Amino acid sequence: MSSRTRAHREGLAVRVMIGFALVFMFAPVLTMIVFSFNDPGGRFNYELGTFSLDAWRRPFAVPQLGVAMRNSLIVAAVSALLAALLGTPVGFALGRRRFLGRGAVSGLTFIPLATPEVVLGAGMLILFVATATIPFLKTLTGGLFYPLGFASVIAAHTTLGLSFVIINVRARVMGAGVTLEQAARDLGASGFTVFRTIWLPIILPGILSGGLLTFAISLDDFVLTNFTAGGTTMFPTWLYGLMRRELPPQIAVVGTMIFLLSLGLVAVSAKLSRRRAGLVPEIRKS
Amino acid sequence: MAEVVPSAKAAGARSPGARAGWPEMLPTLAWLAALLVLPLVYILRMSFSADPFALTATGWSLANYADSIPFYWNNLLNSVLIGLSATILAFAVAMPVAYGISFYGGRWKAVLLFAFFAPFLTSYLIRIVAWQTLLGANGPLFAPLTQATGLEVRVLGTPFAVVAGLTYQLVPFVLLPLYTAFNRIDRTLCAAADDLYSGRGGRRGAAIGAAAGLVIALLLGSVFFGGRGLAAPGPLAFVLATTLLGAAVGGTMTERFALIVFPLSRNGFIAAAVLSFIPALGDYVNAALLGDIRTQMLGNVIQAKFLVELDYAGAAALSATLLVAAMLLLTLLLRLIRGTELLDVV
Repeated sequence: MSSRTRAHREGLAVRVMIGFALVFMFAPVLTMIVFSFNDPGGRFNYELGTFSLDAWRRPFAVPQLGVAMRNSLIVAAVSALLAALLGTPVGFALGRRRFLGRGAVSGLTFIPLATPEVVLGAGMLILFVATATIPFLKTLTGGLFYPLGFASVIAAHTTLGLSFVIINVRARVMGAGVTLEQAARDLGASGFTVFRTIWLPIILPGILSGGLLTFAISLDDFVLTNFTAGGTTMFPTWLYGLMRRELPPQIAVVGTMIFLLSLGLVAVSAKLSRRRAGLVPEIRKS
Repeated sequence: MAEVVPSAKAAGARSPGARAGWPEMLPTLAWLAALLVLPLVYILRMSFSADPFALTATGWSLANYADSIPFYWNNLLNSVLIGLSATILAFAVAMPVAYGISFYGGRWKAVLLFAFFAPFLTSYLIRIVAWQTLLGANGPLFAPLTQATGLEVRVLGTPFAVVAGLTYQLVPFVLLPLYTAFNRIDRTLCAAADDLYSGRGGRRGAAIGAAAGLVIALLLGSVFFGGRGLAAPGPLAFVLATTLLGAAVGGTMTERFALIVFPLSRNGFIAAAVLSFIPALGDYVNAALLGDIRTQMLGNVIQAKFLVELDYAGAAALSATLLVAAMLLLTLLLRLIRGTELLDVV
């Protein structure tokens, strides 16, 4: 048997496996979409009843659903912004320079990925509680994080998102733009001009995708929210409580909406980064 | 690339802008120290606290560990076994996909890869709700089956449902590092292997595959049916079938994958193992919503103790145990590769 036939057979086998895996991945998504058009007839939307557009017509008819969604979107937006602002300098430094302590900073970035989220959430919870009971911490934080609420959830989500911004920016910087920077400096450009005209266009897509990822992770996250939201109505924790009493089809509608919104955001970010890459083709090649 | 890197180093040595940039990094590092390092250190401190129901750490004691670990041993075991099962199954799903997209994706690479991440653009909890729906006895899968055959199916509330839900959540964490690693492999090596008549696993591959299949079958079997429940016709048939499947996969796997792609992407495999097993170890929502009382993991206990019982010290001892287990595993795996390379494949 020639190697070409073998490759052909292997290609066929992996295509079949990819097909099965896609079914596995999309089965829950399709279930969600189908059940958003369902009228279960009872309080729990787990069984197919009759087709209905009712939930789509009145998506926020469930009390508190609108508030929960709004709060989650606010937290996601603020966390994404903060993570982008804080993460960019570190990602830039890690990608561009070798310096003493680089490994330690790199390791710090890796902690959120290597710690069970429940432990991180628990640690933040008891720390926030401590800021209310230990006098020194209380004056230091001014009671910002306790009682738990927006500030504590945003702090938690930003911390998680920071790593992703740093990794994304770092990846954009590595091996890029150094010759351009040298040329600019030889022509007398100041440090700020170099950053604005050379580095910023290179790292902007990284900042953007890191920020969007933080937004998506914040909206998606259950565990950290569970530990740090306290009594604030956030979508995932509110839903967790609701599910004991009822599961209206509106939940599937909102899930589908989040899905479509995120797809749109990804499309926009892909388009933006392609345009950026087109602006500086010689850099992307390296 | 080869020309850029040395000049980058040279430029770094000369260019006036090549300071480390500590002032710009300072706010971020302070943030990470306060909100990432401090909470983890405080968990460790709290786990040695003497007063179990105080909200801040006071005094020193080992009682929290002595009291909680033996008592919640089964939950700890559940975390490790269910987490390990889900990680292995996530590899089984994601490995062929990553290989297939990287080597046979052609111009569809980006689209295919995105298709595997798109389902994660919904909400974590809603994905689990969807699994509850799918696996329910009256759900869209099993209701028609029961109607047609009269068989009662109970999947929801079993360890199988927890493993299935968790596997689903882990697939992207395995897929991305593996895909990145596969993509970096020099294709000329593969072409060379083909020219040198690399074949399939054959008998040796089948033997290795059967052995791996048997080990995995015993692990999955003991999770699904319980350690003692294995000695029944159904579970034994499951073990036999999985072993045979392992032999079939091992026997037909190309040498190109087994002898070139696999060894060259070792770092990707290690990163994937870290990024999937550690979240699996701490997960509790899948166990809470898809399992029953016997499938509760350590995360469920930690969550209940922190948020319901307010037993901070006891919960901190269990969290610290989980944290130390994760760190030990990480150090062990990181000894195999350099830590900075791990970041490259994330």
